[in-house]
This record gives sequence, structure tokens and C-alpha cells, in this order.
Amino acid sequence: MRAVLEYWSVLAHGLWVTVWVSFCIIVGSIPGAVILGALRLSENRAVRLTSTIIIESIRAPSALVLLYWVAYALPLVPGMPRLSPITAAIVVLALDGAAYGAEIVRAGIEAVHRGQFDACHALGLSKIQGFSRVILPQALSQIVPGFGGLARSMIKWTAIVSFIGVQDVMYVANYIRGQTFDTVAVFCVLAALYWLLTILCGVMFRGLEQLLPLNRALRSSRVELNLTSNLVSESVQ
Amino acid sequence: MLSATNFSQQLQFESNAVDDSMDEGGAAPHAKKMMWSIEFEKVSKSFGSHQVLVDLDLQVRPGEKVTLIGPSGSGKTTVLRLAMTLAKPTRGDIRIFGESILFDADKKGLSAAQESRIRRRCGMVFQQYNLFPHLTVLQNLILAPTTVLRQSKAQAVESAMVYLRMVGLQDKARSYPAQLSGGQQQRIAIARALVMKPEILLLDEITSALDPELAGEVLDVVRRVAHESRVSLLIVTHEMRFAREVSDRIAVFDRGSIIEQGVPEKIFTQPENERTRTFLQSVLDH
Repeated sequence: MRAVLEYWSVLAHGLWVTVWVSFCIIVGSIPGAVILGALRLSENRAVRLTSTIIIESIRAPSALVLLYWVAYALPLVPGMPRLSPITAAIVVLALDGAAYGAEIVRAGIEAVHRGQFDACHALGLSKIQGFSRVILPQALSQIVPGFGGLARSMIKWTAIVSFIGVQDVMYVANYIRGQTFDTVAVFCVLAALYWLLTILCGVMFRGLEQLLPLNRALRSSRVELNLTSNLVSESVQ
Repeated sequence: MLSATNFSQQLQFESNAVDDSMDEGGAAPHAKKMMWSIEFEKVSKSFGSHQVLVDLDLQVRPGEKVTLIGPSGSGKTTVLRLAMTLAKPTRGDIRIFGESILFDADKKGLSAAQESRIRRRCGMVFQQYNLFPHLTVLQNLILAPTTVLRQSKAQAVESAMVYLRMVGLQDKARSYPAQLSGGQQQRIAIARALVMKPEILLLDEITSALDPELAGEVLDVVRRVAHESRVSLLIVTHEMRFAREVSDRIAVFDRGSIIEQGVPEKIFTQPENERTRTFLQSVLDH
């Protein structure tokens, strides 16, 4: 344990890199997930097929293979940029998150009752107006819990960025272990840090769920129902 | 400021009626000159190999109240869904105030903007209410006026409150749909459709999901709309007493076609078609 205390500043820096990469890939994956998920449900067959191919092309290979490809193979292709290790890591993991998130978004949209789409149409809302004002706010109640689970996984995915030299908490832990040979203590602390990060992420997403419009509406209804049943039972007594 | 008492004026929607005269049977002799509010011409609709509508011809005059009755699966709801462009016919044409909702003058498909402009003249109330559960009652009512008609929020709220008073639910403006009974939700759904000032209102089995007491309060609202407005109503219902009371004309459906139509009195007392007789007998016996 002394090893960990001795290297705490290095460990804190590694933890900060992990938090930063996690934040970037979770936030960065959201627009991609929403766009790809919505396109998966397009009425246009070509659009549907294209988005499916993109999603499957990203999901199929190992994230580590993609990471190596972007970090080491891409710069060898003429005209392609050489990305810094941290940029390559964020790009690859955000894309991976978007591909997995797209399926969560698709399932969330499909869970919205068909009648809601009909009502939007009957009121004259355009597809975009209906999607943004009616369908997505309701679908979020399904999407956010699923995305919370994905976000926790994405934090754990960040451990692979150490393979291309990003000095995240995993990289730093390995370094400390190499310096001190205190393998058990170092990896116990590492496991505890990942546990803490994923738990915090879960708490944040649960907080976010409370703010969603549909959840707020249903909560109000439940509160009123409880008040009514309390009043009824009081008057009976 | 609009008050509860002048909602009748609110309901006096503009109509493109050119002639209000029609014979008792509902088939106008001068049909060619008539500007129908809605017109189905040789419309067929199939789902795979299952044909739901067969060469349907149906016309509704501006301000006319037409009720479609018939056994389940006879194609009544499909007629409303086609009129609302929620489905496309396999064959035939549908016109709203003379404008096709399917093709432009060159017989090409309509653009989204053209279709939106035409279908804005129709409103629809669904069997399952389809209120937006994440929005309050008032937000449900002002969403379309503010986004589609581009009314100011204040204007939309004022208009929405008039319709909420009309359906007797002005005190529920801040409630969410889940806090309301089925009957109240359906009354809100009617108000939400009316706030867009449609010229044609399509009512699809609006009391089927309600118990008789709640159905009564919804039907009272529709009676009021039917008697006090010039909006054309196309109603699908199994409430025969209600159909008889509010309709100008009743069309009996069977296997995707109209087998008989006419004024309610004639349909209910002297049906000509054997299948109409059988259907009415089975419904009225229950």
C-alpha cells in the first residue's frame, strides 16, 4: 500500500485521464447514437441499410483492433492524418459507443406506442417536429437507463487505451506495479477506482432519469394517486 | 378574451361549401357540381393478399355528419386512416375539398409540404386517445398550434382554454394525461383536434375503450360539436343510438364496401339490404 501512497500523484493524473476520456467518449457517442438509431428506423430502405452496415462495421471488430488500426494503420494510408494517441482513443471508443448506443436508441423509439406517431401526423406535425417534441422525449425514458448501462461499460472500455500509450489509470497502475512490484495493492486500488467511477456514473444517470419529461409526468401521477388513496383511507378510518 | 360562452363561434369553421342541398339518401343528384369536403373515388386498399377496401366511393358534404357502421374488420377504420393519410390506398384517389391527397395536377406524388397543407384540414380522434403522456393537458393542446400554425404561445393558450371549457375540463389544464380518467382523456383528445380548427373531423371508435358512463360524457361533447359547428364529421362507432341521433347519413360497411347508405331513420327502420338487417339486429340485441 505504501507504493500506492508514494505514487498517488501519478495515479491521480492517470485517473484524471481516464475520467476525461470517459467523459469525451460518453458525450461524443450520444449524437452518433441518436442519428444512427433514428436512421435505422427510416422509411427509406437505402438509408436503413446504410445505417445498419455502419453500425455492424463498427461493432463487429474488437475495439482494440479498431484502436490499433486508427492509431497505427491509418497514418500509413496516403492522405490520412496521424492522430495523437488520446484523440485516436476518443474517436474509436466514441464511435464504438455510438454503434452500440444506436441499438438502444432504436429500441427506445420502437417502444413508443404507434398511436403517438399517428397523433403527431394527425395534428400536422412534420416528422422532425414529431420526433423532437413527442417521440424522443418519450423514448428517452427507455433510452437513458439503457445508455446508463452502456456508459458504465464504456468507462471500463477505456482501460484498452493504455495499449496505444495513453497514460490513463490502467497505464499508470502498470507503471507503478513495475516500479514497486506491489501487484496486489496496486490492482486492488485500480479495481476500487473503476468501481467508484462506474458507481458514480450510475448515480448520475439515475439522477438524469428523474429529470426526463415522461418520468416526471408519471411521478406526478403517482404522487396524486398516493395522496388520493391516503385521503380515502383517512376518511374510512 | 374568449369566454366559455362563445366557443360556438369558435366552432363555426370556415367551410368551402358551395351547395348545402342534398337528397335524403345522401347521394346528391348534382354530384358533379358539388365541392365535397372529402371524396373517395374507387378506392381500394390491400394489406398483402387481404383486401380491406374494394372500389369504395364515398362523398361527404361540407358540414355533413356521416357515420360508418358495420361489423369489425369491414374496413371502416381504414377509411379514416386513408383520409388522414396514415395509410395510402392501393388504388383510387381521395380528395379533400377537391384537392387530391395523393397526387398533384401532373399525377405525381405530393411533396411533404403539399400533403401537410391538405391534411391540416382534417383532424382525427383515436380510439386510444393518443394524448402525449409527457405533456400536460394544456401543453398537449398548444403543441400543434404553436409549431404547425405558428401561433404565439399566448394566443394558443387562450384558444386552448376555450376548448377546455367546452369539454368541461378547464380545471385540468395543468394535469398530465395519466391523472385523468379515460373519458376525460378522450374529451381532451377531442379538444386537441378541434383547437387546430379542422374542417373535417374523423372520429375512430372514440368510446370503444370506455365504460358506458364515461362514454356518455364523451358522446355529449361530440353531440355538441355536431350540433353547433359546421365541421364535417366522419364517425366510426358501434354506439347505434348515438349514430342515429347525430348523423345526417349512415353508411353500412361489409367486407370492404358500402352495402347501403341513407338517412338514419331509413337505415334503422327500413334497411334494404339483408346483411344490414342482420348486422343491426345483432348489434341492437346486445
